[in-house]
Amino acid sequence: MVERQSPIGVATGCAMGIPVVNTGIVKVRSGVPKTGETLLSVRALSACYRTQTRQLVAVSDLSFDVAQGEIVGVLGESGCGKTTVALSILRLLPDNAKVISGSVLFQGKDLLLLAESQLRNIRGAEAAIIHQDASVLNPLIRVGDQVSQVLRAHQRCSRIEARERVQELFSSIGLLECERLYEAYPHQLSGGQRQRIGIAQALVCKPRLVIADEPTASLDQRTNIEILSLIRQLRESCGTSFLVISHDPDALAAIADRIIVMYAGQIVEEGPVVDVYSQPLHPYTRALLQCAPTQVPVTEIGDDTPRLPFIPGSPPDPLDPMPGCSFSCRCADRMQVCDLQKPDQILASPSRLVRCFKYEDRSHV
Amino acid sequence: MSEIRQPLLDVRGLCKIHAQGRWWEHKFLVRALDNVNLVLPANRTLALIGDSGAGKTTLAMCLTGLEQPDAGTILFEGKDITKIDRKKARGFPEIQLIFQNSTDALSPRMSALEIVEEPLLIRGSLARTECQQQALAAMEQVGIPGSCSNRLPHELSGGQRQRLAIARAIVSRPKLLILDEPLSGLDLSIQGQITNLLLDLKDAYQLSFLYISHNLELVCRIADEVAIMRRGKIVDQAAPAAILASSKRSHLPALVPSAPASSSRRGASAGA
Repeated sequence: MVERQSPIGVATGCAMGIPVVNTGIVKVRSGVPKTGETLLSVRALSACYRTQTRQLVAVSDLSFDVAQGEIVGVLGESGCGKTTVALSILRLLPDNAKVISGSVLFQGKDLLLLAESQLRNIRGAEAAIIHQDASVLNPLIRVGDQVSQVLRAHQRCSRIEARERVQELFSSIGLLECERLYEAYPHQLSGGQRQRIGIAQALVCKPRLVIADEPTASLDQRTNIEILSLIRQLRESCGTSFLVISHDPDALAAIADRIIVMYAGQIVEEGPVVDVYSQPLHPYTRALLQCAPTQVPVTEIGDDTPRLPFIPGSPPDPLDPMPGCSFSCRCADRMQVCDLQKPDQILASPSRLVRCFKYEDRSHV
Repeated sequence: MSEIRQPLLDVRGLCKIHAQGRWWEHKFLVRALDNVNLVLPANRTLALIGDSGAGKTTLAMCLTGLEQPDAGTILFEGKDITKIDRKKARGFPEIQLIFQNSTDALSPRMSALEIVEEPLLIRGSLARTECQQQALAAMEQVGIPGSCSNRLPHELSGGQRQRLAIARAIVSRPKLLILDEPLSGLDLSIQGQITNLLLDLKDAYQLSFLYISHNLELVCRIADEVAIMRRGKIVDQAAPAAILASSKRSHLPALVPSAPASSSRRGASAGA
């Protein structure tokens, strides 16, 4: 696929005087993913939640790598375990959840085995997380102080120095009026500004890996595009690796190099973003991408409005797992074997993994 | 419908000014709505697009009487509804609003059924059993099974909560439904399901929609007309195709193009 250009960054100026950074045209695509050394390597990760009576397996047997300077997208419907993956990497799971097996190797160290004190040195400093909504900000502390707290927790620097560095960071991520914003409380900021504060918190110590959990959900289109182009920019300028989690295929298409499609706690497909989008292998990926509204013709006046495509049925209840493939009851290409056995991951081509019986016989590919 | 072809909704010169800043600070005035004119014919969908802070939600609040406009008139079927005393009239059931975030808009302490029947009980024109029947019928219609009627909102999935909010809106048999970002935060597939539900309801009840969103690509698939709002003003109003074409040329950032051409995908699936 050839490189396409999106209107990212063409917009300057915004309603409500939200500062906008003119980022220039950012290319939507990715050619060959950068093959740096492996930074994060998740192996056979399984995590479960405890309910009153039973255990609910949210993520099972998950393995993937993130290379230095790579942006990996995790795509999936809500409830498929995306956030659980993000939280278990940094061991931030809530009390009723735990990792049951697997390893998370970050720069050669298994984060799951480290002592809490050692982990605290890594969290925020070398691997950081951007949370789904900016409600993680403390409403009683000025946002500038909340960002410099992170910096001062990990590096020796004076308050004044921290303040300068944080303000510098604010301006580099498109927050104008840094002086005023440093003194502001979270409720005084717009959604886009709060999201940028969350990003600032994650970036202030210049980590090597940033996990972004739905960084653009609940933001408007323009802010959305700005945040996404900011992530790309940071990758280019600092070489930071990103693991971006989203349910929006468009958002991931704009930034990711490689994409992981999750369904019911498992990876169903993995590959370079261009290949996955242009030729989805797994029936779920194909169905999901076909749900994009861009697939439907634009209405004309007087027309009968066409209905939008959707995936029939609903994801399986994690408390009641199916014996066969978890997507089989919604699948368009269902076969007899799908209801009986669980499919294994198959290497469909050197760079692509898929979990589907259709590709058992390589002649299909 | 009336005999003369008057529009269902006719908004003229609507203004709303918010004062921002606390009492000890310097106050400055924000023109949330600045001379807004809108016409919505019956059984049509008008989409309202704009960045956050453009005044879309303020307009929705004014139309439903949750805020009082500072100037201008709102003619609904020829009557000026800004003059109605809403408290005496016990609401205005012909216009219903579905809020931006349905989770926050549903009482966490009421069961699904109670939420849907509440508007009927408040109006007080029907007996309790009849209210319950109508509420159950409305829930059936939006695809919430009767077995869920005793669940609390947090026990429902995001898509089901949105369906519940729709049921609460249609139970009072409105003519105009104002949808404020009804799909934000939902998965793509569920977005499709909810949109299809709304379109089915529109056909069944001859509803009109004022569809507030910032997803240009999506609204161009469902709206008859698209209005663009910026800083409290309607700056452009045209058919979806025209808006889409002009957005590609100009300022409005459309969706980031991602989906490959459908032809290549068809080729892919045929080859598989």
